[in-house]
Amino acid sequence: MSGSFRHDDPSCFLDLPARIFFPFLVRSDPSGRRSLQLPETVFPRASFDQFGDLRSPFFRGSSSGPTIRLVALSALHRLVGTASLDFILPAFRADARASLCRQRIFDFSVENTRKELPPFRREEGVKAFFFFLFFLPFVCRAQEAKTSPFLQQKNHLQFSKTKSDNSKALVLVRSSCLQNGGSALPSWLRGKKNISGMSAQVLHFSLEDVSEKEILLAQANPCLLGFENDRVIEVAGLGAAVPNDPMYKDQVFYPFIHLPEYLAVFSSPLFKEDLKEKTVVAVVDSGISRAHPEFLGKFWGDENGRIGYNFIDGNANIEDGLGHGSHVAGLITADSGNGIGVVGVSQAVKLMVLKTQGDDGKGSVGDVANAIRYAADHGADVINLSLSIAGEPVTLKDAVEYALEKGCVVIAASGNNGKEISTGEDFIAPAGWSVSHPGLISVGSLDSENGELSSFSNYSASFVEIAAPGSHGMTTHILSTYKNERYFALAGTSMSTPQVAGAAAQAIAFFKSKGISYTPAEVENLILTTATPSVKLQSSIQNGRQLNLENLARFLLKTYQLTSEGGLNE
Amino acid sequence: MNDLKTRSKIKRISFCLSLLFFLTTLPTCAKNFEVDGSIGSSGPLFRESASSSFIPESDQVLSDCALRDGVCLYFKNPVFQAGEVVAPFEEEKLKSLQSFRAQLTGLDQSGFVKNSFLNVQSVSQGPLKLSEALKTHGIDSHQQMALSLNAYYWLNRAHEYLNKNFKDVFSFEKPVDVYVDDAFDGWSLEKKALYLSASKKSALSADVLLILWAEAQMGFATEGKINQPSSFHHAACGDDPVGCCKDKTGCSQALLHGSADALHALLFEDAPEVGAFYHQSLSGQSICGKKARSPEAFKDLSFQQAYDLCPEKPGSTVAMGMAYAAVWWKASHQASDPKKVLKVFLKSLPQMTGEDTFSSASTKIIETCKTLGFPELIPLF
Repeated sequence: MSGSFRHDDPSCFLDLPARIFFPFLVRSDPSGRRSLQLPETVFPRASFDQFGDLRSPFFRGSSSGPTIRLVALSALHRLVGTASLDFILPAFRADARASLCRQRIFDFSVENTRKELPPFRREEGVKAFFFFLFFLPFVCRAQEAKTSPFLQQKNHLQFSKTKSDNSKALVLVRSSCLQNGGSALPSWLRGKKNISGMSAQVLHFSLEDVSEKEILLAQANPCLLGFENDRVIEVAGLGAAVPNDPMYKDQVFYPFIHLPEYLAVFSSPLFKEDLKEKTVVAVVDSGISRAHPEFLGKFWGDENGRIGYNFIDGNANIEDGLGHGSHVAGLITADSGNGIGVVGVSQAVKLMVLKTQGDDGKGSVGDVANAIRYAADHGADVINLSLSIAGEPVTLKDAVEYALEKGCVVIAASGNNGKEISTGEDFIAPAGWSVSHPGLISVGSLDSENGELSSFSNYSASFVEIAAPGSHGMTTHILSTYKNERYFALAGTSMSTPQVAGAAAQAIAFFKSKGISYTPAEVENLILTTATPSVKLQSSIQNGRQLNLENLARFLLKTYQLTSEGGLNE
Repeated sequence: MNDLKTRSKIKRISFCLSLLFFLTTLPTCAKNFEVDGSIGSSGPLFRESASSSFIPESDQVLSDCALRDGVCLYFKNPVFQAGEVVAPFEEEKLKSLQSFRAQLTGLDQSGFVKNSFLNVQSVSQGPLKLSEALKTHGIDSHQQMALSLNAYYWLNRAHEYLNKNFKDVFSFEKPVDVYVDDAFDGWSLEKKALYLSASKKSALSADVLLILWAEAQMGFATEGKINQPSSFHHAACGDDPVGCCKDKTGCSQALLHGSADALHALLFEDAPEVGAFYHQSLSGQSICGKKARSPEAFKDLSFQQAYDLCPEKPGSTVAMGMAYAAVWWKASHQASDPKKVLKVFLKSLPQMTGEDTFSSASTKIIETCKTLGFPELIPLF
């Protein structure tokens, strides 16, 4: 039972005592593979395989090889207390139990009993469960000092005095021994402060001040209940939480527009409940993957319960057969903090889905114009147009002007022809109209790997007002949601545009929530003035602007939310 | 003879032992004396008994802080305490500097770092359990506890000191939430809260804490009137629409910044610089690259010179504020009873509005001198 050992027999698992007291903890499948099963009534859905991940709302962690790492056994800890942990899991070695009781993060080894465990029998389980329940209160009331793993094996020190190793150590001391200046203690522990109201307390000391022999001698002292090396318990991290969406880290373009810092500002308690209003963003595109979990609860709805309209077929079927619209919508508002997938720029969004593009990506100007008018008439605050056309179709221009008059902010892609936008034949609509239409923002694509204009992006120091990431190197593109509830990486000014739309949506949600009136021109001005000028984009984008979400957040903070920052940043 | 020799020997040994004892204890004594005697408690504003001083005599930098009662914090800020630049990411260095032994007073019974007027908490961790902090003296590798306890200690010290001595002229009872690890620094009138940057570890700086707290108190005291700056007296500069005063007569934003600087300088009289740790400079924050943010450094500067200090940003409210703070600084040094100056200062705070300039503020201050029965202070303003 003592000493650490290496385990390479996959059949080994818990010791026999564990099965006696809590036999239904251990099960074996026909292949002889062991797993831990906890009763549903006590720990719902708690089970873990010897080599698999723990799957339970109470248990999180994973095992690998002989070491099983349990992270946050706190639920169990709370339910049964420190003492009963020893009781439930008597098979674990004493040093593992020491970790168990003292911390909620621990590693422990398991015994290799090489015993054949009989298959699980329900009667035995029920009997043992009631047996356990009967004894639980007694065990829980047991004095901590009596059940302390320290007592079962007093010295857990790894003795090392080198600076690179941990030279700080802990000793558990009976509080009564700390009275009278700690005269009952070894000289190197005297003079430590006594925290009143505790039966025993942990003291710190340095191994550099004490010899190994002195430690060995001290073990005979009844005042000292045990020794162990000190370790650093780390907090989860400072500042605002990083989204727990696993593919967020693969959205490598976001740091370029300072999305992490922007998220940190908006997750401050300062903004708590301040973004209760949502911005309606109309996505005029190829539809959306309606069942995608990233869009759960994120749809706008009309009086008939429709979340948009299909202008191609003239019905309410807005399912995305191309993936483009789903991708764009995900960049605007894919659910953040839901533990899956990716993150969108703004969470304060309701999506209005207007399908104008077919499965081949093509659509008619008339449908797009109708969609823009529909959005304006149905209360959209922002219209995302990740589409472009050469020339200046009057129908489209009228629709855009109509939307701007109705108070919509319109965001339009500059297009992917890799050419300079100009008047005449080289004009690209609707992006090109941005110069003469306040509230309409034209967006080019930059490569977030090097900050330069993406090779495919249309450009103009006059007609393209801002750039956002639409590519990342030659192989990594912009990751977002996709059709059929999937995720996919795409490149293009279509991907840049929704990032700006998300920024506009966030600003508008803020204004609406705070009761601040705004015009589309003011929103455009806000996004353009908080952008970062880039030398690399100077000749291709108006004033070399690239989207900067952090600046946007801090501007809102300083102008409308914080009263002052004390002149500290002058 | 032998007896005499023995006695002489004993005398020599005693002398040597005494000398040895003296020499071995000298560095410790000198260190304690240096810190204990130099800051805060020795200025003319702190002649009252130790129990009512801003920093109690029992709170001091001690090399064996972790073995003492109380918690281990930073004296003013890590850079000031170390006498050299320490960066916020230098965890080990910061940890070793965490040796200002202090007693937390005024805590309520909630078990968290709070009382009825201060609620210190972490954005990421929520309220900090006091028992955890006390168990470790507030020392932790990520400074989470140090941030919270440092914020509580210095803000509570200011509150207790001012409330005890000046309650008759100013009330500091507005409760404030303090978030020690946020994404930015600032204070909100609407939320009644202070926010300290996690990346800059601003909560480790007593100066930053006091500046923000003092501004907030002024905002609360004037019911936000000081934060409604008139466009008549302000000019836009940078991206701040009220970042500059229009002319040398000053403006309310300068009064706001200057009042906070003045209060900070009056509490940390011997170390009036703001922002040593925040700006990673021993001399503290500089304005337009020229002067430290210290009323002492501005004491000979006229309002016109302060207005012209930043050629690219004439009338910077921070520079103008320093000139205003310097007026109070000089007054407290010229007055026979500096405590009276602080009384006038605090009593006049709630009277300021967004329409005020230096000249209208001066009129209000002079009226306050009369109201409080301190006519001898009038020539100082």
